Amino acid sequence: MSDVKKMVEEGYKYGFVTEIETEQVAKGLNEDIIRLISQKKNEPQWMLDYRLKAFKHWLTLEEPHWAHVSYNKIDYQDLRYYSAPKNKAEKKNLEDLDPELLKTFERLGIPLQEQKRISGVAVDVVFDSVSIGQTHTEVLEKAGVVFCSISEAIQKHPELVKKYLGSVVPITDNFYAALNAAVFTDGSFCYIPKGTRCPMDLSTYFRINASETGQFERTLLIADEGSYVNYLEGCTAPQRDENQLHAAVVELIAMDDAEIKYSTVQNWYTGDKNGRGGIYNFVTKRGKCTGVRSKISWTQVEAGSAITWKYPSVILQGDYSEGMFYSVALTHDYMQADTGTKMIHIGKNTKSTIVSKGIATGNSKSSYRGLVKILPSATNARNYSQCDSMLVGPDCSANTFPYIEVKNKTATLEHEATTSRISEDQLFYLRSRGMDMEQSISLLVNGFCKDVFKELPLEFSVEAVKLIEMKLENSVG
Amino acid sequence: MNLLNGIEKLKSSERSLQARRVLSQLPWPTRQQEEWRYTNLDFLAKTDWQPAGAKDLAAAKSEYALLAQEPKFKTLCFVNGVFQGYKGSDLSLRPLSGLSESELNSKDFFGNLNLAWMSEGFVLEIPAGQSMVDPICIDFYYSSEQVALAAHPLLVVKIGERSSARMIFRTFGKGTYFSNVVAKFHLAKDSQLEFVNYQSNSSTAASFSQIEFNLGESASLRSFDVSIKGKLNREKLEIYHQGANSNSQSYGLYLTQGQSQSDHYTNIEHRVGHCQSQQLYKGLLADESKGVFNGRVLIAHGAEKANSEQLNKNLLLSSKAEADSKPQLEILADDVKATHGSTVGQIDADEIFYLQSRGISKAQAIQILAQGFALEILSFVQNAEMNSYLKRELREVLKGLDL
Repeated sequence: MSDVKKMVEEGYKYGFVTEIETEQVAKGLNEDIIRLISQKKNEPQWMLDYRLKAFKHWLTLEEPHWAHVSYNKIDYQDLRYYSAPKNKAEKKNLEDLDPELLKTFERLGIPLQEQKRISGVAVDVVFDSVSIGQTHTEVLEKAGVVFCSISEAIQKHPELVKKYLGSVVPITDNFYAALNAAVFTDGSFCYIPKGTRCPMDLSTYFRINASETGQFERTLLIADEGSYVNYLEGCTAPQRDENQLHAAVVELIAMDDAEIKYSTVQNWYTGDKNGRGGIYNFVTKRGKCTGVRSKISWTQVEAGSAITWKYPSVILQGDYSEGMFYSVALTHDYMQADTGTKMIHIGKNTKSTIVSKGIATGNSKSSYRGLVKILPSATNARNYSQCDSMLVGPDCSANTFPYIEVKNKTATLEHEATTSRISEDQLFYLRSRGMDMEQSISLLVNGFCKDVFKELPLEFSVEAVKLIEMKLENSVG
Repeated sequence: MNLLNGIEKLKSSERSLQARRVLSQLPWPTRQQEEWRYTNLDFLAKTDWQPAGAKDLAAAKSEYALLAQEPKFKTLCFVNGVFQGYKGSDLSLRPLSGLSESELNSKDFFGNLNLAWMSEGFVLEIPAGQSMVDPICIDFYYSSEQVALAAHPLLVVKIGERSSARMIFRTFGKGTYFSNVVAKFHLAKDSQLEFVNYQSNSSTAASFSQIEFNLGESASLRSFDVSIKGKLNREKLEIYHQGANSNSQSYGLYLTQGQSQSDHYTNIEHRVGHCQSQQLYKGLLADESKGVFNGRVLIAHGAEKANSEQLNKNLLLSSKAEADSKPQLEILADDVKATHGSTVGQIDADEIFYLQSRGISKAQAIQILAQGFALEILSFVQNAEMNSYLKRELREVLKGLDL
């Protein structure tokens, strides 16, 4: 038990602030700020027009309010919309980088140097809003894979960006997507050419640093015919008292026979024991299976953020296309997670699978909210959904809100959900074998989440298991 | 919004005035509201609804008198929304005026509409320790040739300790009408109730019912919502487990055809621990019709040892039919078992083939399978009279269905 106490008192391991010079624009949001961002990034006119159009639309929107998420109102004029580490010019090799910055990543447990040589993972590191380092570029270039920051892509591949940006998540989609389109500062861009199997797993590492900085990432991933890519995304953020807003947009496009696997481990600051502070994570993630037999799979482990509002979705447009969603959401203290997915079946013989596991402890709230929509054109569509929730402690809550809309009689659709607490019998069994309470709970939770963990790439799977264990130790008494 | 016009002309009673105040604060239900997400109420808004007139009432009464009655049912009846009295001495009926305001309060739009119109109704009380073997049947019969008729009956049923009762509501009629029934049931300690809400409306009618059950300690409820005809049927079922060890089983069967719609909103709340709830709703959807199931189960903070099951199954019989299903679980206690499930599909081709290989025609095979799907719900009706009555009615409708 004393170990647990120690863990609790230890607080958020990644809660530190890197003291480096950052270049910031004044607080607030108006057309001038957007022009300034666009100018700083040396963007072409069409990009600026796109931003301004999004901003104009955003002004007409009302901030959404959801029944099961509560938080103090965000003052959008009190946020800073641009912040870049000053030392960003000439980043040909990693040694040129600000040593402070490199130290930060080392403390977070991703020594870039190591990664570059050994791990076989190309890392596009996002520090605050600007990409500052890349590895394994050569290997990727050889395969013809374009993997760079979105700002770079706007300069180098404007035709691709222009064609696909906003094609899955239009500026009119929702409040936060419109905001993101207006002010996004950076993110990742990836294009896998026809018939290419990406030679390595691609990865972005997010980190929110400067205080009061809105973080608006934009990720665009295009898998051309017959290609395959495995994309990893992971995040941790330093401890802050003010709430920080993160409104990212991720767009995936899969053409004929292409397959995209997108995995996320999210471990942002959750706020303190009393629910003060923490990240607001309002993300729009959506994939579009435009091609025949294309596949998009979302896997996520959500263990951080004070509020998570995230529904990675798939539009199944191509015939025989397939969408998958695997999710584990762990909430503790006063966290609120409202997450799920949308599967929109348009093409014939489309298939979707949803597996969602929620674990709520402390005073937290965990909700699954999902939509499965079968349109009249989706003959022989198939969906299977399973949503399980586990409750640990009498003060947490778990909700399940599936929406099922079927407009084609050939559809076959199943949804099931269960909510229960850890089985006393199983706990007793493990304890009678000499395991302590924490170990037993951890083992059972691991088993509960296994269906999702096995979908993660190996490195992430190991990290995810550790993360859940650590979080549980902190919150299960 | 003709449903709201005319209220002002009514005599003002405190009950009506209070409801009018609430109504003025509530927006007209639109699809933007979660509760009405799948239901379009344009038909209600656009029709010029009128209270029942004296001329129509006399005609409707004589029509109703000619209808065959179930011999074992103890029948009470509202014709065009007007209560016709009960001559027997075995039921204790009291006027609504004896009830306090708080007993009738509602937050719902149509609940307040009902109160604002100062609807007719009564309090039915079954004293403690009494077992009512024969079903009490309450008919809501509508018939009007002149106008689109609107009526808002209101009932309160109190079942005493250790009592048991069977009850059936039947809504049916001719022409265009809007029936907005509100009923509140109170089941005292150790009481039992088997209840059927049966909807067999005309193809131009809208029938709304709000049935609320308050279950006391160890009370037991078995509720059926059977809706087989009507342009727009909407049932709002609320079950509140107020006493420990109470248990509820709620079943639903909705059969829609043409362009009709059947909408079910159920809300089951476990407010105390050690309660059980089970729910099974089945939909059979033909032509261009639409079936909606929106079922919420809430297990309140502290309502430990709850056990809750919920299942919604839909069978689509036509390529233009639509099924919308939205089960929801909201769990605020940890020592509970709660599950829900929802399926949508069509009649299994293998099953049709099996029957065909036994010499049964395809049309017949589909008929048999559809019947089997629907009759499962009715097999849970324990009272023999209600059971055979409902089965008879259902078979009749299924036969007429173009599969």
